[in-house]
Amino acid sequence: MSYERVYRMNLIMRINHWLMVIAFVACAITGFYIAHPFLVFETGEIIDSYVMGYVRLIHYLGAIFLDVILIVWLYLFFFGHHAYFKFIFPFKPRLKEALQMLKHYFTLKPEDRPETGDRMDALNAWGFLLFIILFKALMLITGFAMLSPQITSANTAIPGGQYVFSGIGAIAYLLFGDLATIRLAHHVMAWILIVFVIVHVYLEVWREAIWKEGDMSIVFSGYKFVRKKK
Amino acid sequence: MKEKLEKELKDLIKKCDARLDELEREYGRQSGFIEWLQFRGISRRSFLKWSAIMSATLMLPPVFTKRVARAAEIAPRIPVIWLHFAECTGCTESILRSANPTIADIILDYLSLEYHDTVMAPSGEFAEKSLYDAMKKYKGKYICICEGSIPTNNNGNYLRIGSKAVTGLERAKEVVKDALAVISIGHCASYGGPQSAYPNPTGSKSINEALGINSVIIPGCPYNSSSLVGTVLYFLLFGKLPPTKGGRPVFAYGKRIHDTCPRRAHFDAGEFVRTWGDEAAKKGFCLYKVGCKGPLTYNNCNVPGWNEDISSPIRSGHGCIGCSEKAFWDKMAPLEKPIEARTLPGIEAVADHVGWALVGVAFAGMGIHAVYSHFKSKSINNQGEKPCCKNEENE
Repeated sequence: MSYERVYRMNLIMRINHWLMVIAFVACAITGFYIAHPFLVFETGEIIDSYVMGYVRLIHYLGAIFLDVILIVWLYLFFFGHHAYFKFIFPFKPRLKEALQMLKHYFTLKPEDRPETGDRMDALNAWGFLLFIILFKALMLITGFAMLSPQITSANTAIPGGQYVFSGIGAIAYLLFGDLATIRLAHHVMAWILIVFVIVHVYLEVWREAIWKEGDMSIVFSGYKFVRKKK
Repeated sequence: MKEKLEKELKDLIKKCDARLDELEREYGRQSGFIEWLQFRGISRRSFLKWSAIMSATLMLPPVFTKRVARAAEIAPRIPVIWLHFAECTGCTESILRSANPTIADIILDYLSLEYHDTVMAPSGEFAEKSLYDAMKKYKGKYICICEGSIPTNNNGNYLRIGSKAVTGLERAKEVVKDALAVISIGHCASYGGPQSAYPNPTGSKSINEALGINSVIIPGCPYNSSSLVGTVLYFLLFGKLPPTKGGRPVFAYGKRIHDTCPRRAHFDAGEFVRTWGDEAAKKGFCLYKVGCKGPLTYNNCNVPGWNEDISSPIRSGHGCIGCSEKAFWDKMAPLEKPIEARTLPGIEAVADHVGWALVGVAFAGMGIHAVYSHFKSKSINNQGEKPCCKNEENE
């Protein structure tokens, strides 16, 4: 029996993925600290500690990374090595494929597994699209809404930068109404993203273990192996 | 750019002076006001100091200080009708009963109050009469200040006012119709108050919602008197109500409590009070962990301060409860727990508990699926197949 090596993720996609991992973990940890400061420092002199300041700085830097990653991701959606929209459109056959893949997760039968060749299967593509667009875009919008009160013309380097924040934040006000609810939505969506990441890692490990085609190495080397048919 | 701004400022000053001259001609220069202030123990000097503070509060340059003082002298001549609806009268009490009334309080006290349920001498039908007389006499000229929310369920029968027992809704419509400007003060008039908290049996609504008008709202429980006087002074100086954002004057509600907080440095340093009265509380550390809602609240408590900058809620040692935000009792509760302790609407659980539950469900599902996959793939292997691809030889 022989294997064929297929190219799945190019360098930009892999860099994007790992930067997202680092930024996401940083944002999650710092985000929980901001919501509930579990470490309390009582040095006695304010000058000695700047904990919350640094934590918030890391949170914002992580958020900026995630925002840039989102923009790169949107570019790759249309013009990537494997343009992402091909995994989702044409709509009907891909939806059927996604449902079939869902069936395969439970029956494990080889005949249920859709033929995907050298591209991502539709279920994964739908999942990433839903969670990355919906929740990351919403996280961005709600985050900007919470940041915008403290951004004035005095502390943005870009002329008119405060209008970017308040303008994008205004969408969050339309969706959730007020700052308290926006904060709650940001918190709940963070949890949904964490659950998504856990399930995502599990499914990749599952594919590696059950299919034995080297799915895990896609994200490191860019290649996986597909069994050649006779 | 600089010349343009200077020209704009000069134009503004000219306009403002012309307006004040016109007002003085109309209402006459207030003669007794300074004497009244001195009687209340306030010197001309501290009055001018207060004028400087007020012009800073209104975000005006120092050149406006004497114009603010002039406007403050005219202010008491503006006829005001002050209405009370469903509320605790706390907003009025907070200015009437202060031990050391501030100049803002005195101006409110000294306003040409044509009608004010709480402080007026007449009662019953005579009170009604003075209301209607004032409405007729100053038609289209009086400022209507509304305090309290308006119950709307059951035709507004939950609130009946005065000797004729008219409903609050009728009274408000009647008076607001001929007003020059309407200002809603306090949380009840601005957003509906505690009586409109869930489940809101009386259908209480804010003045703007109940009447469908667009008045300036000055929320707070109680409101800060400098915000109301600032709005009145702005109206006198420029002939229009101050610029607003979401109905609230920007000069007072343009910044969050958190951004002007005297304890902000402790927040950034990560120094928090954990329980009331601990060592950190004595040192004046940040109140975020004992429920301060400053990061979610727009108000100016920390800037002009309360009672002539004697103190403000956070300076006195308790966190902000967010009383100038819409529906704060529903959205900011519990008031003395950290922000993240708010329960999700509908399921009465904290976001973190829901999150942990979701993670637990995910892990349980994954575990079951992993074990299932193990045995299922074994059984498929035993049949001579692999779960990966069909029609394949064994290795």
